Amino acid sequence: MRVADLEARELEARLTGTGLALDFGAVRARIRADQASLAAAIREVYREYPDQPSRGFFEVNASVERVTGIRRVLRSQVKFVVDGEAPFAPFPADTHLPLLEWGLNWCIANNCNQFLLLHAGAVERSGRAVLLPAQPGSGKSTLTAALTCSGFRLLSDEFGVVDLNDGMLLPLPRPIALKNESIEVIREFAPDALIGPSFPKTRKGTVAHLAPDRLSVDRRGVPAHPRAIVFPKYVPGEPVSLEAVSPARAFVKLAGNAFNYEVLGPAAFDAVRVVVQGSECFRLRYGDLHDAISAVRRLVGE
Amino acid sequence: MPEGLRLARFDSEAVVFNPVSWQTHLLNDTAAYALEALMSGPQTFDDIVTAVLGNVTPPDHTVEMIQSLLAELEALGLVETTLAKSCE
Repeated sequence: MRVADLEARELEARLTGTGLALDFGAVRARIRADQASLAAAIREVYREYPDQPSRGFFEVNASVERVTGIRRVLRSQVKFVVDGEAPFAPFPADTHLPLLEWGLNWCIANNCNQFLLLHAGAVERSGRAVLLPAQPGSGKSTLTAALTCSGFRLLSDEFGVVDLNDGMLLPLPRPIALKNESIEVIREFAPDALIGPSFPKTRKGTVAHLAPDRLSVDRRGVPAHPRAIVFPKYVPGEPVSLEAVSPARAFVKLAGNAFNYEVLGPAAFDAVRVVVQGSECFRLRYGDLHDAISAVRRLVGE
Repeated sequence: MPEGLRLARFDSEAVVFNPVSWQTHLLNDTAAYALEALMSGPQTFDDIVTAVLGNVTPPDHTVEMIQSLLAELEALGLVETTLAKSCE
């Protein structure tokens, strides 16, 4: 049984009770929520995840809860709570799913130091993983989403999770947060893509989440060999180009863009070395998603 | 040279992990050869010059450049030199 198969009432009861267990592959989370509309959104974007018992060890235990008291009187709000603490200011109640997703990202980035966490999208095809490290605004999420709608397996939209023992990429598939124009771009690119509700008033504008496909969820326990590192940059109107980046410069960019490189120090250095040594490194500039995908396909030998 | 220093060589460049600052630095060929020479143990300045000029082609690196390079590596805490005294 999958999350999508749960009756609405059953899912709400789970979210207000023992919690919903979500196995992301590299990380397991148990989440709770006390709003029916959030339960409905979770059902959409986590639809392919297996329904699992909410017992055992979870790296992340978090909830999104209604704010009570004077703040709620002024405006309906929700807060993200992890291990009994609320690390952020409350959000408007009508942005509950973005708050949950950002909160989960925050928990993973701050607590999961058993892995090297690169700030990168990551996809896999034909056994070859492609890392897409990039700064916000570079089109990373849009490209990652388009690749997963084109037959690539989603490893993660946000975290390049590197096993410190062998440099393999560990899957952490979660809904891909699409922002503003990207939502319509992906709707047009892949009309069958399952995109959850839009949240128009978040701090980053309108946000909607692309649900991970079934194959990516079902293969969340299967690591992948990193074989290409691609620094993407969307430039409107620009023809696609792939320019080689020296491995040493790619190394420094990866390290500088990681969430916990400086926490892990030498172990992170060793892991990045393995990733870079096994990969070709490129800068990808593109103005058309189809061209960009063709370029990435060539990198995985298609 | 601090214990725990790590160096990864990639073609004509290298990356080094500084165990003092936990920072990672990008090195050019010259710096990489100098550092690699020192990783086997303390070296005289002449040994380092030989190691660099024997590997970098074309050998357009002057002794002054290598002196300056070692000063930069020392400022980063990657090497320890007694260069000033030996040059007196």
